[in-house]
Amino acid sequence: MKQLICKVFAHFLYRGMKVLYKRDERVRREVDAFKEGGAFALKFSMDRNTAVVIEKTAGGLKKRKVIKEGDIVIEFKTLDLALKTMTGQKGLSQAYAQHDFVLKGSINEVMGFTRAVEVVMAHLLPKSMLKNILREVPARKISMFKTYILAIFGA
Amino acid sequence: MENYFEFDTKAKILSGDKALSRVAFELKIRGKNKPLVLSDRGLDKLGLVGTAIKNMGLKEYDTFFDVPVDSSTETVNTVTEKYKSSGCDCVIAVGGGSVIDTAKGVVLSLVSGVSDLGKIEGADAIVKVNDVLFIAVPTTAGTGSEMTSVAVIKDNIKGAKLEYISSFILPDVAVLDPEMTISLPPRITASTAIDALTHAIEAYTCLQKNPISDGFAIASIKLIFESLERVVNNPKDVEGRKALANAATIAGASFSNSMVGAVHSIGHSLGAVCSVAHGDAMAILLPHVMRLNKEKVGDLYGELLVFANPEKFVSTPKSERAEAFICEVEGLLERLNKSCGLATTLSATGKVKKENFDEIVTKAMNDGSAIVNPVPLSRERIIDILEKAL
Ligand SMILES: [Zn+2]
Repeated sequence: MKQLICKVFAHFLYRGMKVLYKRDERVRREVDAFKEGGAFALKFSMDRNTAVVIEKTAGGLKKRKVIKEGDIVIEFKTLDLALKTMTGQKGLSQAYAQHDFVLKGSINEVMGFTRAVEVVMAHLLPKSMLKNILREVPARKISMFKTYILAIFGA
Repeated sequence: MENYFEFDTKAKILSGDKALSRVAFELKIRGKNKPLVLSDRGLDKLGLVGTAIKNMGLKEYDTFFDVPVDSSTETVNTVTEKYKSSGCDCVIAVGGGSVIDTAKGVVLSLVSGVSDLGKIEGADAIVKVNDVLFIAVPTTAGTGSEMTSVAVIKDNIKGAKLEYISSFILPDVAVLDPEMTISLPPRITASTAIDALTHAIEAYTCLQKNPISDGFAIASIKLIFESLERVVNNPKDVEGRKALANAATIAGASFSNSMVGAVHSIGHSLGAVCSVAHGDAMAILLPHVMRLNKEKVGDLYGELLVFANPEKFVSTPKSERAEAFICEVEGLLERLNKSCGLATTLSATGKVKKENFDEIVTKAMNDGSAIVNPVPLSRERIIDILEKAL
């Protein structure tokens, strides 16, 4: 069940990033700096292979099923820790600082991904929650409602 | 925010007079007979590494003194091969940041059994399959590398800097012998000690601060304010040298766990883009970054005033202590500028131009330390700091 919840939230994170890639220059700048063909994989548990892999393409982002060599992998140490970050109870930067995950790949490249995730989270979660998990809450370019609608019905 | 922290430390610290003479015993009780001693040509020419080997009383050993200024994967691979082919059973690094980082790379490769370091880049990503005894003998009092679980190694083929965070690169023994730092010129003494002071101040205020790293940071700040100017004005002050070596080591343990912030994010970038020496960058940036962070962590800066100037702490109202502490730091830097020529502006380095700002900003934003600074770094904030520091 926890795996499934993580996957659903990660899916919305991916969809939200796609939506905001077109509408928020902060996300676009970060995503454009990712290596084309490279990917960020969110792995929710060390013993299971379930992961959501977000790949940078020429025109933006796409989801792929498998982790390839060279991908940057964020592998949570326990499923509960993954759940906290994926459901917005904890920020990705705080999870990094508290060693909640193993990071395989370039630490520098994860910084841009983290900033993009924080802007996306700011569009997906209520402000009352964001204040507890982010050092500074990024301003929304579009409303939370519109972000969800676009994320569900197409960017 | 959820309250959880990890504090990872390992080294047995041998600190003080003739500390090097005790290394032979440490090797004996660990059943090691043949160390590989790593150092660089500069230290070899100065006779410092020769002194270290003699004072450690090493009988059977091998050496590698060709560590470059920036540690690279090629050097790590060469040294690892030498370690294996010469039948060495432990590693001793005698030097500054790049010698110790190279040694960490070698240890990383031996411990993981992986020869392609690019494959194990990351944080907590290394799985240990072997044990390797690692002794660090720092020859500056600044980086604190002998206590940190971080290493940065250049991959010249890919043109990238590989960064590692792992428990397994923490040295087992750190040797702080005043003979290794007594001849450091005043200016280098100042810039390396300001690096240590920055480690301690950032460790005390960054996102992952905790009661243990706080204790180390405070002790380090107190020692630096008490001893640095004394040593700069009288470089042969042995007690002062010991105090600075201790300060740098414990600041290393502190920031390795609570991490460093924006002074380091921008400082690393100034080093990469404009070759500004690390300690100089710290001295130039520290007060400006502290003013940025003051709105979030002003109370913490205020607490530190008592360790910089106890009388001032008593006479200053609580609401003004943060600014007073920043002024104490600025005062120290200005006095060091007058006494030994420590740079306090970017212009003084002669290396940084406004045209470089864009590249400096991009690199600083992507530095691993940016993520834990109390105030998030934006392009505008970094430009503002650079302009003020120019
Ligand atoms: Zn430093």
